[in-house]
Amino acid sequence: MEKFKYLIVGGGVAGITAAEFIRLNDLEGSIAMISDEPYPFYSRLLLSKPGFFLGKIPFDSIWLKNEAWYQEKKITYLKGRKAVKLDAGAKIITLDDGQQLGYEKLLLALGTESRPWNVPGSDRKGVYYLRDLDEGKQVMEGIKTAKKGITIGGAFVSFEMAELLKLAGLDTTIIIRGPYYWQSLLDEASGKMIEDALVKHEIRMIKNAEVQEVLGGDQVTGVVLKDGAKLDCDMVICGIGTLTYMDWLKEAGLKTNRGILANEYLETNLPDIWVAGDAAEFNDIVVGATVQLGNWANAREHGRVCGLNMVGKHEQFRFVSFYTTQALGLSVTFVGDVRPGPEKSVITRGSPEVNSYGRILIAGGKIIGATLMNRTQELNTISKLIEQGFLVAGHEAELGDSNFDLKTLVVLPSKKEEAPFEKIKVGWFSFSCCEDNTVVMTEVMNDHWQEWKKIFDFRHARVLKTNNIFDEFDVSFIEGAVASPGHEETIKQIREKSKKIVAVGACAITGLPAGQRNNFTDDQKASIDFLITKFGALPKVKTVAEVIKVDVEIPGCPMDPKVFLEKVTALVKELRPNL
Amino acid sequence: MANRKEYVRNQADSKIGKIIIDRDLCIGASSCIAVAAGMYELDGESKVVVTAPDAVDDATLIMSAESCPTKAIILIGKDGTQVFPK
Repeated sequence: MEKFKYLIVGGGVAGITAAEFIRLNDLEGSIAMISDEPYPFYSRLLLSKPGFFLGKIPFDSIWLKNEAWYQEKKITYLKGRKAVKLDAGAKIITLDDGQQLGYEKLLLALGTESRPWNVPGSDRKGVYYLRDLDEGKQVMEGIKTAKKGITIGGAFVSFEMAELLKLAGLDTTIIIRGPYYWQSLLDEASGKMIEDALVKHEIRMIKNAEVQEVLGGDQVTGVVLKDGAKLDCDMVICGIGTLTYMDWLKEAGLKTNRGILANEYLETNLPDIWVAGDAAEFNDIVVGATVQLGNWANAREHGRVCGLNMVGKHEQFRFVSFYTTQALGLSVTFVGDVRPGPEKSVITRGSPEVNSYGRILIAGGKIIGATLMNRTQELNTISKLIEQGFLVAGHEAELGDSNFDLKTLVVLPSKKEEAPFEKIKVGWFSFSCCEDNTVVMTEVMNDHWQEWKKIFDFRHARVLKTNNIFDEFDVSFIEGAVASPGHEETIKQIREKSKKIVAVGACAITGLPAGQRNNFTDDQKASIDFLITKFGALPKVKTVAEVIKVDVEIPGCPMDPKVFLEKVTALVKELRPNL
Repeated sequence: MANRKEYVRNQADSKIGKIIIDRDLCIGASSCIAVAAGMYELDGESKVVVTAPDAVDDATLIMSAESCPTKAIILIGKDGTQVFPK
């Protein structure tokens, strides 16, 4: 079985960006990427551009990476293959052809698929979805001959595809379930603006309607609505949402909801498994809730953060999410948290009458989101206000004044109060050794205590304090060999609580001299057996690196104070780059 | 070309002298804004405009162009050759 250091399931923008950032930080570690599509990385977003379907944008613009790129980055690209089984304990992924791949770190960047339209007759020819390139190619073929088209659904796909069908010369109708367009996220006035744009472009919109059945033989010829109305058509594009197939992951113990659940580091509940992109249902620290987003920029940022975290960094995902779309001369933008709710109040800017209408959503006295119709120029500014936790009180009139420049409310970086310095949390732990490194450390401290006091918080260091705290550490120093199961357990806990682990001194790094007994003859072993039993020791003495991942090593018996200072300085620079 | 806007870059130690935004291709996906903060903004038509051509270094600028899902950002070197897309 082939084993890879980094295995990425999914070849879209999240997976590709993760691979790029892994390779930037780990030049040699093996990377494999599995994609269930037969293509190299391409732009799924071009599939929303009418110009692409109509041939105004050359087809080859869709390719964002070629085969040579994967070779250059030393990425084993397994295309046209599907992951079907995960064994998170043994760290193995099984593909649809039975091939097994081992991994050290796994990224699930699965994306989403079109939600199937479960209506009788929806399997007839002429009914299309639009999620991947093969589906896009079918739509490109379909519009060449079709005369009457229907789009189903009241969100992005339907809005953009209605424009495409119209531009392709089809008689076009949109069927939506709600009383106005995008009822889930927009107010009625905004929805009416979309309706007006549709009408202006001679696209029919049927509201409060659902398809009962798709008519036709082999080929679609029309649809019947639930109220009995019948519409002729020879093409239907279905955009009723997306989903991710996760049964195989649930079987492996992965926690899921609508998507794959993750924390703000995009870590799943299983060790060494991250999730990125549309499939991630993650803790959004800007919104303060668990969210799932389907958006290119978000997926790219997910990929970046996962790539960095997979090579050992510990970066939070912090990004004000947004969506933009334009069709029919109208641009629709969502930023932040735009889910309606009784606890949220709204300040409007502009009006539908002037064809420029924004809604700023407020909760807890702060801006949490906005919907913008033909006001995308305010997206950046509102993102910043959300991120900065701008307090609305006293600014209601300004926010409601369409001509007021919101930029003046943004705190510029130079004026922003500097965040107080967060001391580096340090742990110092000793196991089987003479603790001479501790002596060296305290000697170095004699000369440096004044500066260390400002930047270090010694939370756990028995040589320095009586009341030690064992909660979380930016860096933990470990001296001594690992001689007992108790040592092993404690060291694993230290790893979990520490961003960085430094092994100090010969015992921690080589396991010697305590490890001399590892090479004893049987007679020698028998003679010390009563001691092994008495102290409950491990059968073999281990180095720290044999038990956990070690980030930095400072060898020597005892360690060299100069090297110690050098390594400490480098760690401070890495942990607090702004210091 | 039909609907392109050019921005001159004057950063002294940069190899790139011109940034072109193809407004026909731009769809406002904004990944460039996420990559190169402070350099781009969206306008009222959800198209990207360059507000500070010298805001970031070359590596970040190239990464922002590479991040574009429609290759709407074209980078021209000071020597006149096209840096991206290759």
